Order: sequence, then structure tokens, then C-alpha cells
Amino acid sequence: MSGARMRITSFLLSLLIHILVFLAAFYGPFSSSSSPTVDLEEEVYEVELVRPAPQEEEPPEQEQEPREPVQESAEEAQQEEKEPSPGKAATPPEKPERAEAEKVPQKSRAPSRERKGAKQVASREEKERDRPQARQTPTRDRVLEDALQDVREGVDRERKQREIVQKELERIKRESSSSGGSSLSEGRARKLYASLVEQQVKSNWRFPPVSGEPDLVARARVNIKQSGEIADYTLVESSGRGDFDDSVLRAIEETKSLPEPPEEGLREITIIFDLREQRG
Amino acid sequence: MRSSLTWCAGMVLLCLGLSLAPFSGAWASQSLQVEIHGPGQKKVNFFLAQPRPLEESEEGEIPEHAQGLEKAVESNLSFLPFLHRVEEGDLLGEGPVRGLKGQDIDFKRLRMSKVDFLFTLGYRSRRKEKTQMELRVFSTRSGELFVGRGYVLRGPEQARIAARRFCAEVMEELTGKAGFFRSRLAYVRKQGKSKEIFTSTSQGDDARQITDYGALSLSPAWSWDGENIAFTLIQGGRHKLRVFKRQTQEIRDISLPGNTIISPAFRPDGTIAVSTDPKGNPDIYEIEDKEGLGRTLERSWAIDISPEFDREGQLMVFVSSRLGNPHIFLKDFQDNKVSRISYQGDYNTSPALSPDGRYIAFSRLTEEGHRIFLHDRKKESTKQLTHGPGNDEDPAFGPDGYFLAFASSRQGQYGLYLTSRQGGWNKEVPIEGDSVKSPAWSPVLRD
Repeated sequence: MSGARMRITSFLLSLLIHILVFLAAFYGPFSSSSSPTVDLEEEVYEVELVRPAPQEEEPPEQEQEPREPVQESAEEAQQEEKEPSPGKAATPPEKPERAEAEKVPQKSRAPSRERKGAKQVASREEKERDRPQARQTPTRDRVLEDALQDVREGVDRERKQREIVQKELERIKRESSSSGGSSLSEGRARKLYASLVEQQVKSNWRFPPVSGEPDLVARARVNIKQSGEIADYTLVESSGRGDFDDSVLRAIEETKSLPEPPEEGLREITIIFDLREQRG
Repeated sequence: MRSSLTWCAGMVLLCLGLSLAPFSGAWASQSLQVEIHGPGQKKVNFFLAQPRPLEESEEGEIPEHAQGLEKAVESNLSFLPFLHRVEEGDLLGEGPVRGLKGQDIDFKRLRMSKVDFLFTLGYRSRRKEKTQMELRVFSTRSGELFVGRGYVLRGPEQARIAARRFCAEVMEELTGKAGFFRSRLAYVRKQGKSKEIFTSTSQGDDARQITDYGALSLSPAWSWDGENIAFTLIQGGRHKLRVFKRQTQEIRDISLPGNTIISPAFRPDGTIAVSTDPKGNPDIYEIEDKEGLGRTLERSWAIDISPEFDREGQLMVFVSSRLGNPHIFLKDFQDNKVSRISYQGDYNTSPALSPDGRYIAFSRLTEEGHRIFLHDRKKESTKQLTHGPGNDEDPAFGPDGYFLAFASSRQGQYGLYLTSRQGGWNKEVPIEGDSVKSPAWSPVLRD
């Protein structure tokens, strides 16, 4: 009997030593990962859309003398004025005294030695001279075409922003893998990835404007595969309103797939859908 | 020996527990939290299915009343900028709607076509040319009934009334407000050399003439209970203030001192404010019950006109030329302080105050013509809402503070158009007449 107990004791001691060695190898001073597994100081990611480089500022508009009110809009006032009563006092003055419009001084061209400055001023003046000619009463078709162009440009801008963020994420992933990874680059990669997730899901989120701007907030959990494909999702916190909850789940459903996560182990994303106005 | 065995077993269990504990922390770090503030699309997609018989045994053409109701619902929904209609040709696959019951509807196929809501219309012909209608709205995500109503129609006018009531219910479910379909517009319409005041629904239906003086009836203004419409009458060289009472269809004359009477407006307590000039320059006064001027609401050395109030009666916007040019100002009656609202442009007029007092819409003369601007008091910012062409003037808030009506000459003659305080959209209100201006929006009406 004592022999059996000895064997059991030896087995347990052996198992204990193996476990200790395993723990030492995985989490001890010889492990490669030195970053904390949970950083309680890190805030919830404030997702900011990456914007393209700011364009050059447009030159200030030239002040011009205000025009008289349009005939139709002053029609009633004029009709009132025709009646033999002091109706003139009824309407605000149509031609109040105004300061003369400032004109671009002709002597603004810099001396020839300041060529760069002269070119800038000259191009600005050219634009200002051209502007009155270009200013025509736009037709309805022109207004519609301009609006469509704005939409196209808006869509292009969003696509470019996503591409910029995606490229930046890939760059950080490359740097991180080659340099053995650092908590700083991992944190930045997660932040950029969160931005991509936000953009993609938001673009599929449809909900009408609600009166009174109620505090509707819903929370959903999304599980993703290594490729970024959405494996499943569930509502973990309801907003209290069925159609709002439906809209957030619909947004996730229509997204179908997200970009490949920056870390191999990243499989779960919690998305907070917040209808409240952005703070700040 | 037994104690050493027990000791070893305990140590093994302890080490196993310690080895597993760090993994829970590692799992926690493999999750990410993302916040999304606001939807990317402020429109939802809907599909309006063709009317179907409630009983399969009913054959033949779709009854006239059902067709009329379908067209009225379709027209009403086109006024809502947050709804986008998906056409039949854009649906994936064939006929996802094979009946009126949930089991006959392929919600999955509708979701794949990005349809968020499905509208169905069922009809049953009854005796004496009556048609029973059942209207339903389904959420395609859950397959659940969102709104369902039944009506019995006896004529085309009833179809329009039923469509308005149904769309009001849908809008209320979607947005929390239904004022658009339960209110009316008052406006000035040119008739030859005279101008008369009319009212209609917000969609331009059911137009009714309320003045017939053959003179100039201008500046209609609704009372907050929707029972009265005040307006200025210019007749025989004189300015008069008149009040139309909806219930009795009578018009009351209110005599006031002064030579000009401009832009009457009701306060929430039922009193009328008006601009008049008993002392030379138009100032804003309150009118007493037994006629005659009451207290002064705003006076300055300049011209002060066009008052409008919030639903609490604490705020008043108005136009004043005290700075040399017409600008928009806001007076807070709690401390009687006046603050300036418009800073740009030389000609800012026709202010409208949203019922909650947060937004101020007004017309500004720009280089391209008059345009509607919106000032947000909470964000302290102003943005342009309309972009012509022509002139956009006389903004008026709807009872829910979301829609705005305005007059525009963008198609040559002045007509009424709708937009929302978010801008980026507008739709013409189909009203007959050569020149239609000065819209005023009623509160939510009970009838």
C-alpha cells in the first residue's frame, strides 16, 4: 500500500513541477510579451475619422455693394406705399446708408523682387476679377448638378479616408511584427482598427431623425473570424425601443465583414450605438 | 504519508488554478469597444406593396377606393425626407410579398434588398360602395407588425383622410411626432389684383379660402390652439387687423390706433402681438382683450416688426433696423434682455421661432438672392438651409419644429416649399395659384 501511495505522491510532485515550469516559461521573465494584458488606464477609444490633409485656404471674398431688394420681395411693401397712408414707415429701409465697398487696391502688387508674394497676390486678384463674371443666377439644373457633384465628392472623400486609415493600419502592423511589437504600436493599431469598424458599421446604420433627441443607446457584441468576417452578433443592452434595436442589428447584419483585425487574438467587438449628440 | 499526499494534491490544484487565472485576463484584452454616435444614414428604406384582397375569394380589379388610398399613402410618404422608397425593380428575386400575413412574406429577401419597412394594403369590398381597408407596416428585421390600422371608405375624400391619419401614425411611431399630417398651412394667394388668405393641409390638399375682400389680406398667423387666424387687411387705404375664427367661420375686426398694422402674431396665452406705429415708428405691442393697445413688448428709435414667440411665451424674435439695416433679434422676457441673432448680410427679415425656442429661421438677402438661414441657439451657429435659385423667403416652422415651409420663386412664380431644419432637401407643396407666399403653420389640430 505504501508503495502505491509513494507512486501517487511521486506522480503528483512530478505534475506540480511541470506546471511550475510551464508557468515560468509562459509568464516568467523569459516570456517575450512584456505588455500588460489589461490596461485599466486606457480609455474607451474615442474614434476620430482620419481626415485628408487640409486644403489651401481660399482667399477672402471681396466685399461688394449690396444690391437692392428684389422686386418681387418688396412688392407688398411697394403696394403698401402706394396707399395714401404712411406705409413707408412700415417696412425697414430698402436703401439704408452703407459704407462703400472696399476694393482690392491696385497697388497691392509687390515689387518684382518679391516674386512669390506677387504671384500669390496676382492669382488672388485674378480669382476676384473672375468671380463677378462667374456669378450668374444658377439654374435649377445647375443647382441639382452641383448638389450631385457634392454627394459624389463626399462619397469619394469618405472612401479616401477609409483607404488612408487602412494603409496606416497595415503600416503599423508591419512595423509591429518586425520590431517584436510594442504596447504603443499595438494601442495605435487598435485605435485605427476601431475607426475602421466605426466607419463601416455607421455607413450601414439607418435610423430616422427622432424628435426631442432622446437618449437612445444600445450595445451589441460582435464576434469576428480571423479574416474579419462577422461570425455572429447579439444585442447585449437594449435601448428600450424596438425599432432602434432593430436598426443597430440591421447595421451589423448588412456590414457582413470587417477588416482583418490587427491582432490575432482579437475576436470580439462591443459596439455602442449612441443617438445622443456628440459631446463637445 | 497521507498528509503529504493531501498536501501534494492541494498544491497541484492551486497551481492549476493559478495557471488558468491569467488566461481570463488575456481573453479580456482580446476584445475591442467601439462607439458610434449617430447613424450614417438618416433615411430608412420602405417598400409599398400593391393592394391585395383580404379574402382570396375576392376577384377582379382593385376597387377604386383602394387605389385612391394607395396613391394617397404613396404621395404622403414622399413628403417625409427620412423615408426612401425601394421600387419593385430594385428588389432581389421575385415577389417577396405573396400575401398580407407574415407567413406569406419573405422578410429575408426584403432585408437582402435593404428594405427596412414593408407597407401592405388589404381591401374587402362591402355593400353600398364601401371598401374596408387594412393597412400594415412590418419591420423586415424582426418580421413584427410596426403599425396596423383599419378604415372603411365611402369616397375618395375619405381615402385621403385615412391616408393622412395612417401616415401620421407611422410618422409618430418612427419619430415620436405626427404634427406634419395633423396640421394645416395658411398662406396668401394672389387673385387678380387682390390677395386672399387660404388654408390647406401640409401636403396641399383640401384648400379652403377664408377671406374674400378683393383687397390685400396679408401676414396670416395661427393661434396656438389652432382656433383663430389673425391677419392684416389693407383696404381703402387703411390697415386693419382681423381675426378669423375657424369654428364659426366669422371674421372679427379689431380697431387699433396707428396708421400701419404689420405682422400680427399670437402669444401662447391667446393674446395678439402686432407691430404698429402710434408714436411714429412701428414698435411691437400687445393687444388687450377689449381692443386697443396693451403693453409695449419692444420699442426703440428704429423700426421693430415681425414678432414670433416660442410655446412658453418667454422668447420673442423680431426684426429691427436699430443697427441701420434689418437684423434679427431675440428678446427674453424673463430678464427683458435683447440679443442679436444675425450678424452677416445687410437684409435679414421674416424670423420664425421653433416651438421649443431653440431654432430661429430667417430670410437673408445674399448675392444670389434671398435665402433661408437657420440659427441654433444651443450651438450658437448659423447655417444656410436653402440655395435657390430665385428667392427663398418667409420661413415658418411646423408644429414639431422639424419641418419648415417657405415661399420660393425658384420656378418662376412664387410657390410654397418644404424643407427640414437639417436642410439638404426640399419639396414643393402642390397648391394652385399664380403667386403663393407667406406660409403660416398651424399647431396640431384635433379635427
